[in-house]
Amino acid sequence: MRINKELMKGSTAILVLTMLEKKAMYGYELIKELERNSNGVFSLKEGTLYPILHTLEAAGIVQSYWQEAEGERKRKYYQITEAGMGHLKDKKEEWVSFRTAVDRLLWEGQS
Amino acid sequence: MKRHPQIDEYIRQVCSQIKSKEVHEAISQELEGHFADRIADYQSEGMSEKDAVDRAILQMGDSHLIGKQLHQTHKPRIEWSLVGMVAALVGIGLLTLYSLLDSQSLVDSQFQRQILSVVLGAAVLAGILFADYRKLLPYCKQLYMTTLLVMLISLMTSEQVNGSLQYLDLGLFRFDFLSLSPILLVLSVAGLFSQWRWESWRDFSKALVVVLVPLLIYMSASRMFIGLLYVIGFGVLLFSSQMRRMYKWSFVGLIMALFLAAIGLLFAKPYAISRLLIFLDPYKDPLGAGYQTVQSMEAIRSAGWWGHGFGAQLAELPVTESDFVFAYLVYSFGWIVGGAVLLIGILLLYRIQRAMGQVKDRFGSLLIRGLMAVFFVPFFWSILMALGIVPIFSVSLPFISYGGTQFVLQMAVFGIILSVYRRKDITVLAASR
Repeated sequence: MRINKELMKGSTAILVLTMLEKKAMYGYELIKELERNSNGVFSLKEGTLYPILHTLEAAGIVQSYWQEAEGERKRKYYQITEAGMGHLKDKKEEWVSFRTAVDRLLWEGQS
Repeated sequence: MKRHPQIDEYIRQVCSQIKSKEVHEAISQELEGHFADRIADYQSEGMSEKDAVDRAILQMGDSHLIGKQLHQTHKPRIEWSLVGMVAALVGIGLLTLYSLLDSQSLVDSQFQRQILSVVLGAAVLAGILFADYRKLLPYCKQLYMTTLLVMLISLMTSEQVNGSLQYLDLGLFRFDFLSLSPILLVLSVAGLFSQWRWESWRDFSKALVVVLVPLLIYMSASRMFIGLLYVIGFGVLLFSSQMRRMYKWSFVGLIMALFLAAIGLLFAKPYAISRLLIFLDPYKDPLGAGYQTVQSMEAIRSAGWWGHGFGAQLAELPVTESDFVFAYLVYSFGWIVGGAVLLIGILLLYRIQRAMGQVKDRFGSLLIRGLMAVFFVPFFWSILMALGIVPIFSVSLPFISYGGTQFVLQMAVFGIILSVYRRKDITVLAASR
């Protein structure tokens, strides 16, 4: 399994997966949800979301399906897979230990 | 949906960065949908249409960068570790045959033909690798029918060798078409199965015909192992197909019954059964039925870690260039090289097995599974046979044994496997259209 390292850097992938854990979503919906849930802190260049989603899909972390939307359009929905759940759990643990370490460094002297 | 020239241009720029054309349509559709939603949202906030389009494009970001990142994800990949392992096997094979040539068990023209086959095989592998295996799909039925026809022709025109029918005579050259046929059949059946809907008894009975007709031909030609090989390949395809479980198991029952019947028939010829089972105790008849097994085991035992060296003579063992090539290989190059061949085989199986899980295209995944079966069963059988662990059949060791046509076909098999792997990320999108 080869994951594009550039894209997996940073926290966007983990945020995307956390959103998808709740329900399957299409790209635009995902961006709106990200913005809403983070009170607008995470507003990325929207186009960069798609390479991330496609990389996750190629790695088997999410899977996709097309569904009819209103009009003649179809939307591509993304859904987290079993493997993706495991991946997310690992990443979350990584993140928590990182955050604890940073917290300790930043606030140790002051308390 | 209303089209905006700026949006079309933006999407065109994204796609221009992505080499695999197959994914362009799906990506365009996805981005178009995104733009449409974004523009509609801006307009409902009171923006003019022109402003909404401009803002939406600005929000999207640099089209070249996004295109480049998407290209990275959808770039066709070559699984170099597989290529390397295949090359190693081919190299060991050529070395072994060269050693046989040196020991005068092989003549110059045979060796030259094998070299030619290696060159041809490499070209075929590369050609198939860079082609799209899915183009095969519409021709699967024809391929199946043609293979059956040629099998029938070779059954009727060929002469008997050692009690079993062997060669297809094409005047200029003769070759053992029957032993090549399982690969062709499994290839075409993979295509058929991926297209069937498996809803009714009709598909079930069609599957029955598809397995039984070739099996009958193999049986009437007394080619037991090849029949077995086809049944195994077919079984793997069947179990990977969408057929309902109940049908699958009734199939297994049926095939088992057939095998019992075949074994029953064998009992009518006691010498056949004793030849088949002699591997259990070859020393019971070391000069008769157990001769090959005993000689092969002795050759391997005497080899030691480093073997008897290049060009070693092994006149006691017949067919050292094909069925017993593994015994000769160990005899001259030792247990180390023999172990390496076995290890490469296991690694190859493991790597393909892992890659297989990532293939989402149904035809591609069936192809890999079926072809793996018809490649690896002879591979390991031929080795185990030389070690005296399984009964002796006429089974050559893929990539190593002498034999031009089968070599080229084996390279083609790997070309297809690599081609499926190479396109696995492309297919995801194209299939979901």
